[in-house]
Amino acid sequence: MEHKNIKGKLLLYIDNELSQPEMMEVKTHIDVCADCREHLTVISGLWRLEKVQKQEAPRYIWTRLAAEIKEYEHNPVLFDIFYSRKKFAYIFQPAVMVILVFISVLTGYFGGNFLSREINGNQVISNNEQVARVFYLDRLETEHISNAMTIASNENGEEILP
Amino acid sequence: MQDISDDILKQASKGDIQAFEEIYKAFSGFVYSSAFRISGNSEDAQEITQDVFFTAYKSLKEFRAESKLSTWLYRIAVNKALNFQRKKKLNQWLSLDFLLENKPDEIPHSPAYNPLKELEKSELERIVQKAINTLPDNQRVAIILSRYEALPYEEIAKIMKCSISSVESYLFRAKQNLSKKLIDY
Ligand SMILES: [Zn+2]
Repeated sequence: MEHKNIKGKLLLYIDNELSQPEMMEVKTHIDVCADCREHLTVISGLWRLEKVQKQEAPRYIWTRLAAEIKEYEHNPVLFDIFYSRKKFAYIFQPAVMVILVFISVLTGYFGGNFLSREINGNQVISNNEQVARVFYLDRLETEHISNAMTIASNENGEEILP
Repeated sequence: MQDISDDILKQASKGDIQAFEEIYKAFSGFVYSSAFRISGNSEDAQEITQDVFFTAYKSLKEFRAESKLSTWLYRIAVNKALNFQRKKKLNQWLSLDFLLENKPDEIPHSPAYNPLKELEKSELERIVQKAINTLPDNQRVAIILSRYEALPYEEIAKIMKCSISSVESYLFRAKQNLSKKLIDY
């Protein structure tokens, strides 16, 4: 446990930023503990590694930037509108689309059923049944209609019109 | 790191692209380098750098000479880089990428096979960089500006809009956390 405690202070020890008693505590431990001493050697080598070479910005960033500025100067207002739209591109992300589709389906299902009941007043006709009527009445034979209506009635567990 | 003459600044703020290029030449190294440290990869750093200078170009007229141009630019750079990273994390979630993702920010954890002393220098740097990337934003920015960019505390305080003692405290806590993160190596 003490080793862990000592190792957890080593960067501050290297930079001489611990309180006097803590500096002493670490030093005393390091003097007698080979394991922590070795860790100190490695960590201080790591910490004092010569500064990583400065990163140079690739030249083509300027080329792209200059083109962007030119486009902006051409029509700042339009550019800003377009640019701020780019920021909303995230709404086309899959997770958002999945949520939107889910909400649409739920709204359609519950909203649709609710409306059909309202419109038909006391007569309980399900949404599915109405859809079946609209789709099939003109185009199919009577038996198809009755099939479709049976399916609709079974789905809703309700009695339908003869 | 050079600062820029008033003349160039004046011309650039009037929209002179050649004058602005001088500003870009003087500071793009630092901006790119800190964006690289904060974002952790060169593609993001390029995008952030372009965004920083585009914002600077548009708002140079509002720049007041009460702070140094470099401080102003570094501040934009740090904010953009942090925002970029947050947005990227959000986008990864929104695009469901996290389902495939392998937590790239985690420090490789195999001390039994890779004790620090046996690792290559570049590998060591990578381990420190990854450990830095797991620090809270304030500590991370402070340590990057101090360790990699070698900026004085006063400058870091101006960039981070906080007191010098806060910078000292961020750095202290950063080193404490890093020591703990590196215990197993
Ligand atoms: Zn020990």
